[in-house]
Amino acid sequence: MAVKLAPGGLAGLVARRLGAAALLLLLVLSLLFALLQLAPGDPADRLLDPRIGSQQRQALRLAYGLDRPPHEQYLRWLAAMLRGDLGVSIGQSRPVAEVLGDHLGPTLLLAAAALLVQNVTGLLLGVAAARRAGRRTDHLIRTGSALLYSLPTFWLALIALAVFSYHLGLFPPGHMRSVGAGELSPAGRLLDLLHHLALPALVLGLAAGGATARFVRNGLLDNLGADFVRTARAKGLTRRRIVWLHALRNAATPLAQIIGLSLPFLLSGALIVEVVFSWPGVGRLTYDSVMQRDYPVVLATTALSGLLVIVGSLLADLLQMALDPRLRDGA
Amino acid sequence: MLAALLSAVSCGEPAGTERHAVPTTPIAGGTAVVAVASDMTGVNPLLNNAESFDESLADALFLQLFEEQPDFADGPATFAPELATTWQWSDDERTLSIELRPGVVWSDGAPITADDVVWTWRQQIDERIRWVYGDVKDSIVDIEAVDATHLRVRFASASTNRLAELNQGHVLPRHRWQELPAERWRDSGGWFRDNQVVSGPFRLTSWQPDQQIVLDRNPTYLRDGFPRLDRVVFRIVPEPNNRLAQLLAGSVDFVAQVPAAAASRIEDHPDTRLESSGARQYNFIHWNVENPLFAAIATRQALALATDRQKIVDTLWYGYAGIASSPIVSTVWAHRADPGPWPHDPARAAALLATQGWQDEDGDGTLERDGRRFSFELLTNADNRLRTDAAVMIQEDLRRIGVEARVRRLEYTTMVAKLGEHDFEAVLSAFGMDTSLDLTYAFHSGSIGDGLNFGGYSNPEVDRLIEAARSSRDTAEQGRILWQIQGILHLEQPLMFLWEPQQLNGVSRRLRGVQPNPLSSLFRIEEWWLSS
Repeated sequence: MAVKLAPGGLAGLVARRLGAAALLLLLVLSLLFALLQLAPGDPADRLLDPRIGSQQRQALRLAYGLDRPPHEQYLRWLAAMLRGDLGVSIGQSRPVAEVLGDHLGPTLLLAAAALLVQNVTGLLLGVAAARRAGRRTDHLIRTGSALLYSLPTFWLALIALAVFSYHLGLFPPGHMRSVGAGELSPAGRLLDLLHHLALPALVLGLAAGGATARFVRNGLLDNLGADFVRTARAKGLTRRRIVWLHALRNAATPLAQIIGLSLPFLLSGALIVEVVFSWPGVGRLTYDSVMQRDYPVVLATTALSGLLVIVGSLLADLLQMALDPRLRDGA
Repeated sequence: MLAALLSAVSCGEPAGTERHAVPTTPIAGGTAVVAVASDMTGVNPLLNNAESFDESLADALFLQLFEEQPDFADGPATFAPELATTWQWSDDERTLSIELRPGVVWSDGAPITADDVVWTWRQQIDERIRWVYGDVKDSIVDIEAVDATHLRVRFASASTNRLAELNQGHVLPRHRWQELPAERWRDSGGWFRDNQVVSGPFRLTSWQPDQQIVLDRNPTYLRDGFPRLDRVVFRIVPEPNNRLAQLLAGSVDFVAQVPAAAASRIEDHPDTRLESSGARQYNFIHWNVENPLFAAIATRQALALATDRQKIVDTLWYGYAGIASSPIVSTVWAHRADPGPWPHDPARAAALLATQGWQDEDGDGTLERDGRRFSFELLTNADNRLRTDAAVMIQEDLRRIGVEARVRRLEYTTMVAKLGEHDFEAVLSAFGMDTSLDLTYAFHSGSIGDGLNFGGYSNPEVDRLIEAARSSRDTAEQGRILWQIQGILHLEQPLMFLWEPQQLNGVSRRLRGVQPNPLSSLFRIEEWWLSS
């Protein structure tokens, strides 16, 4: 849909938002840097092995500049980051960008699939509940969606794994590919990937989909009683057309905000799902890096999450503007 | 509950399962799948951070000069030829002449020569590379390549551990890896994967980080007919219940370090078996003896008497562990079995504390002395459920004699940092020992500020004996000294020795030839084979 704005309006909005976001991101990362400095221990402390001498532990600290005063470490890190240099992973002895690159693809794939599941199920269930408001179907959907939303993702993931993978054998027990996937045809590899993706994406997407369904239902009910719906009915439009084309469009405006903001939720939920399903994403990388005090990787993954929050929020605003002319005019 | 659910859904015998006769003659070929908890660090062993899986993987990719044998129950570990075929000591036992096996080549066909050994040693001690085990090489003065297949190694002293110290680490491909300057090694881990040249039974074919590592047989490996397997796939499965369930479901063939609670499920399953071996680890409570609460030997003895270690071994380890009584574990020749662990005798413990002036003056159930309650914080790492459960059991044992232990679970690195700063009262933890039996790390006073002697234990006699054992050239004499040290430590209890766990591995019935031992769960992986 074309967005009509005053000259420079959209660009101005994006520029303002990005500028503010960059400052916010810097603030978040600086705070995180300070928190990491305050956390007791460093990577060398973890080497609790009688064969490793204190000289070697100290040498490791020197190698990664961990012996320098915190403010000096911060300035060096900041200067490097502004040059686009994310540093070197202490745990893996290779550039952080390379480490992040290995894990970003799987996480984005999982998040995109989960987003799809979340919105398709949320929309379908929300509309179904609204159309049958107060009836048994509505109660069932509301209870089911509340249950999905309130269940801990960790628990849901383990139950799904136990039932659908180990008991029913419908899905593989985690991982992104089968052991011999490399020898399959391109189509076979794609099917193998989708087979592995399905269960974690369903777990992650359905949990968030529960909230979306409730949001859609309530939004739709508000709109179904509005004047424009009565007018549409008077004009003889079918109920289906009224719901899906008119009322839902109005109800979808706040939904756009939810979609944008659910991106970080999916990423944080992905951490747990990635561990349970052995999915090689950024969530697992972040967790392992925090445990190993691999500061450069933790800072980089946090920066990435921050960036996604900002982009998600910006996209949500743009989508809202596209759906609501009043916002466009005010932009 | 969830573990039980996973167990319930995966333990049943698959429909239509038939028990065929298992071949006993090794069969070549096939792919074995191993589930591991975490990924490897990288291909270059000198950049790894002392993770045991990294070391096992390095064994599969690279040869060493010798192969340390798991025969240390009756005497010091012996060494079998690997790259070295023969070796001979000089009269003063400070110079070692080594002959390398001729005709051994790297995976790219280049010969493995004495120059590779010399170059590897230089990288091991290079300050720009900072190999974590670099200090181990302090005893080596020089390594010289006499010709392509002969080496001369000079040691600073004639200690009994010098062969193990020389052998620490793997021989690396000089002709290829010298292309990257040493100062760039620490930030170029990926370069070694791209320029991989190996000498071990396997080569790395693909690595999908946090997903799987695929090793294929190295056709240039020196042992004819080995490895038997064509391929080993390491699947990274961080969740322990998932690892176990995959083994029981037949998706993987080998899982190392399964929890003792799962042992019976593995044994009862028709398609899996349990392979256990001794471990080199001992668990303990490290008392901070600089704290007045634990300064007196009699107090530490009382705490040992009050703790029911047999109950911990039976309840938490289901019998797959033994009671520890010394820093030298019972699978090692120098272990002193006599007088054995302190008995569980709460009455004697209470009496001992009374002789130290501890009385429950206010009747609140906790002892006091000079206005101070016998109450302390017992740390342990939160990620180890077994240790936290043991800490709670010990807390209850100590409560019965009027001692209050407040269990505090900390994230591992946070806990270790507190130990390093001596900012703790007592900690439940574990050490993994190598076979050198050098007790300097935790029991010599020189390691108080600069090692793992976190509790500040200091006994000049123990210091002297540790130094004597380290420099001893005679095994019998070393054994006698270690026997004496263990006697003193048993009496003085700077650490309360708790348990020595067994290493439990879950193995599919079709996987044969596995030989887990205290050195490695994946020992001689080249001899593994599949019966179907």
